Amino acid sequence: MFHVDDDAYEKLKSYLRTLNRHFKNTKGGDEIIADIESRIVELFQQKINNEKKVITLEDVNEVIATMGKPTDFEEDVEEEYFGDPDIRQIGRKRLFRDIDNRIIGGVCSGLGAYFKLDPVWFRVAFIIATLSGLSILVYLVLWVIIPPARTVSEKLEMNGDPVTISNIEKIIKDEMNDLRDKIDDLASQAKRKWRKK
Amino acid sequence: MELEKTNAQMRKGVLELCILSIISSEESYASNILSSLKEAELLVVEGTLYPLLTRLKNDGLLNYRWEESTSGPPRKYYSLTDTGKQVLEKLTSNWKQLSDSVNSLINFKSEKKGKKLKI
Repeated sequence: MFHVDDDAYEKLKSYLRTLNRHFKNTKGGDEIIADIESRIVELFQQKINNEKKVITLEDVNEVIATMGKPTDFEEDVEEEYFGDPDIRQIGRKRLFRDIDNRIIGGVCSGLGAYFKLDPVWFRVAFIIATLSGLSILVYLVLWVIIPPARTVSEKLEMNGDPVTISNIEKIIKDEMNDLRDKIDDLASQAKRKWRKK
Repeated sequence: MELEKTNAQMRKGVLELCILSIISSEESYASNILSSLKEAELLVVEGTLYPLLTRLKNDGLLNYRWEESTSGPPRKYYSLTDTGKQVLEKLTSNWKQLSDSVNSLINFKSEKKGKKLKI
């Protein structure tokens, strides 16, 4: 047994959670995860000595880099493209409003996804420009003319990812997982409240 | 990018053969296998090994037994089953054939180039 820093523990927990998700539907998935876990313990043990008794976030990051993300150890590399011939091009990028991460209309988050920048820069720019009085109008015009990314393939194009089966699967999985995490959180909050009463 | 993908596919193709042959030379546990594979630069991330080991075991090519370790969690020592030995034999002869063909193809081309350069 050894001690693990709080942030390191959280990081490790979320890594194990991604592993769980990835191997949940694989035959022998539990076994694979158990094997990986005991390898992680082994790697931690190599980092512990008389002077160093606590596993830090840095250690966890290093171990995760050694083990790799579940997507890095996929066995098949092949991907097939499908859909409209004109959106099949790899990495074709289009400007959409990112309505999943919006504050008002998703214009800034969409610009952020398009230019691969943190949308906060666009938000700050728009707020500063408000002083000149023009930017509210510009924002409204952009809101009207830029279409929202509603479908999965539009969301992929917004980020410049190719529309492939595995990418679409990934988005859907991510959304399902987000939903499940939210439900889990709600459930545990409810439980806590229940107990307090 | 594309080059890396092709390289990864080449590695993946021979990984099973390599794992089986490491285990055939001596009973091994994951860390042994990992260090041999990493030394040979056949593995980028360690996680790749575990799904493969489990699949080979479920396909009846590998057996394992638990052994306590003084320095950490108990270890799974893998060995080849009879089927595993047969598969390894077949894969090895296939590999020899494949590498011979590929080598002769590559050499043939470079020989031709060499001749042209001399002229």
